[in-house]
Amino acid sequence: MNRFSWLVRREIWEHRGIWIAPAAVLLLLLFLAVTGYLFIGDVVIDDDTPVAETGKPLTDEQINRIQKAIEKREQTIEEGELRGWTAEEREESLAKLEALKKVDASKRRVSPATALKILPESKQLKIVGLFYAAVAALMFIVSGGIAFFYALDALYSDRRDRSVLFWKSLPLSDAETVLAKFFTATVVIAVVAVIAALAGQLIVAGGAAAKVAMIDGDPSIFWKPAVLGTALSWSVLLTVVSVFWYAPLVAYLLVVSAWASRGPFLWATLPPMAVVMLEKIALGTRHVGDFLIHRFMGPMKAMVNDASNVPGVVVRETDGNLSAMTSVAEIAGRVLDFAMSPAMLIGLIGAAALVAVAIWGRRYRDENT
Amino acid sequence: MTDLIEAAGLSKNYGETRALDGISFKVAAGKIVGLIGPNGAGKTTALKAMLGLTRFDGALTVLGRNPYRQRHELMQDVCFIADVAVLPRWIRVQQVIDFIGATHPRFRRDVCERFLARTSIKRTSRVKELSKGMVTQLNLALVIAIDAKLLVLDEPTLGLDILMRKQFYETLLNDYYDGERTILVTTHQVEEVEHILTDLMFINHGRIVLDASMEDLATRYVQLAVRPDAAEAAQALGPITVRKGLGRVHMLFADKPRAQLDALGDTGVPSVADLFVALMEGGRS
Repeated sequence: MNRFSWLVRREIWEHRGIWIAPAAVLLLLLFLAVTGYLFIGDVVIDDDTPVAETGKPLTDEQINRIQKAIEKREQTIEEGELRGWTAEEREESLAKLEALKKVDASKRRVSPATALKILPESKQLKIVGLFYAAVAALMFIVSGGIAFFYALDALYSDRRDRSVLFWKSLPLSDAETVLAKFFTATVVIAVVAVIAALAGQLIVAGGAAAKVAMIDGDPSIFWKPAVLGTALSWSVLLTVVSVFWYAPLVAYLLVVSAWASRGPFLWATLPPMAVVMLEKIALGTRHVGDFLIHRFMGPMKAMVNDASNVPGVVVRETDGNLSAMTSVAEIAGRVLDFAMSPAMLIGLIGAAALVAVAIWGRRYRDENT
Repeated sequence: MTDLIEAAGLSKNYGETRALDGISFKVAAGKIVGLIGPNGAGKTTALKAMLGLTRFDGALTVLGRNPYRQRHELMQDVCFIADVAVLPRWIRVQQVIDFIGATHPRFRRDVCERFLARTSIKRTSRVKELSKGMVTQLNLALVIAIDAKLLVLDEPTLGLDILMRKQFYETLLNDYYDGERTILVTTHQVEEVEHILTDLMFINHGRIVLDASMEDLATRYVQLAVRPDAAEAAQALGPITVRKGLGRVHMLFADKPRAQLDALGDTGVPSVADLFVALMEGGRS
């Protein structure tokens, strides 16, 4: 086991992008948070009620319009979910908007922060949850890219610079070497992604909280355990599911990395694209393409397309207390559901077979050169 | 003495090319064996077979194991340098020491540290920042620190200047070789390994052309500078090669009575390089 940990460490030594890329994204987020550029953009809350526009201070006229819009909002139940506003929420917001009219116009400038100040707490949680989910999704995409290029390079780079002969002079089996690379591409990068997502969320929260505090709002909304906890759980869920879901893809890239004589990127991408095109030309169908999209987008589609699946975004009321919709138990249940699905299991079997091919390639690929 | 390496009818084909043509040899423990041959003779293929890096036909055991099937176990006791260029360029000196220290059960860190202390190699440097000579020193530091039963060196000093080459072999002999370990080395630069070898193997066209101890060489092979009047008599004895130079004809004989040759001119022990050239040319004709 100790040897395995050193093999993993060696991967991180060589492929420093595993931590440099997320760190760079975090630095960028930090820069944007500090300079205040992070929260510019239209914020549309609850259907089509405009709260504020980009970078412009809210005029009294706009505030009046928002007040009118809010007065009309009623709470409804759609598809089992609470939508719209309760009477208390309306009262709370209208009072806040009245108070905002007394605030100096320049201080109304920051749109989302202003929005947070105006909105009832339940709606605030929704926005914060969305921010957190966006940061997690950003880190998820960054990590996906890292994993892709890492797996493609992991076995190829040793062969390209012939250092494979050095590694093979050590008493390490090809199986444990390839498994360490597989582990790095899946688990290590995933753990880095979760940590980076949490750090990014704290940076975003810190920046936003500072803005809210500047307009005399209550920034504690960002630290509510319900939001922060579920945002973290959501990152973990997305990541755990992805590790299993993308395992065959990683293993496929390792196979290409073990066998390609040059240009592993083209070897990894062109053949599938060629098959898709051939199918289209020969049969006029697109089953392979659909399959590939399914394999690529699986977890994202399952968890992001349907907004109700994003915890913290949808907030529900239980006995007058606000809580995020997704509890940890629900998350665990969902992971289990996903893990037991046939597509997942077939994928894992495929991953095991592909890893075996990669080990085989590592062992025998270069013996004749 | 036990045989560390035993090959019988060892063959290897690359497509149509026969890289190893059923060679048989034994290497006993405690020997320093030079495996010498021209480019494409099959040296590297033979080494690769011994290290389990390539499939082969025939019988081959290294330390009693089949190198191809038991490669992983074999590498506990075998150490090799493919050539100086294979240390990963991105790795730091400290990292490579730590890594081998943690993964190789026979790595003696103190030996490595002591050797490195004599060099100007910085622990924080990456391999790509080191000069070629320094990379060799680092490689050597790692190799001599591994308490292996068999050390295999494939052209270890290729591309190094003469000082570095000398230092390399001196270190190997003084700091590593203890009379029990076995070293197998391939090289083009015969004259530099000549004095450290105990045994010599010539390989050409996938065949062993010569397999002898250095002591045997001195008794078996004789270089004769033939007196002009004895040329015909000498020729009749069947020299391996005949070379004309500086007014005299030089002939190389194998397994001929010394007294007989002494009568035909000036005799001497051929250098390994002379022998190599002679035997390789003999193979060609």
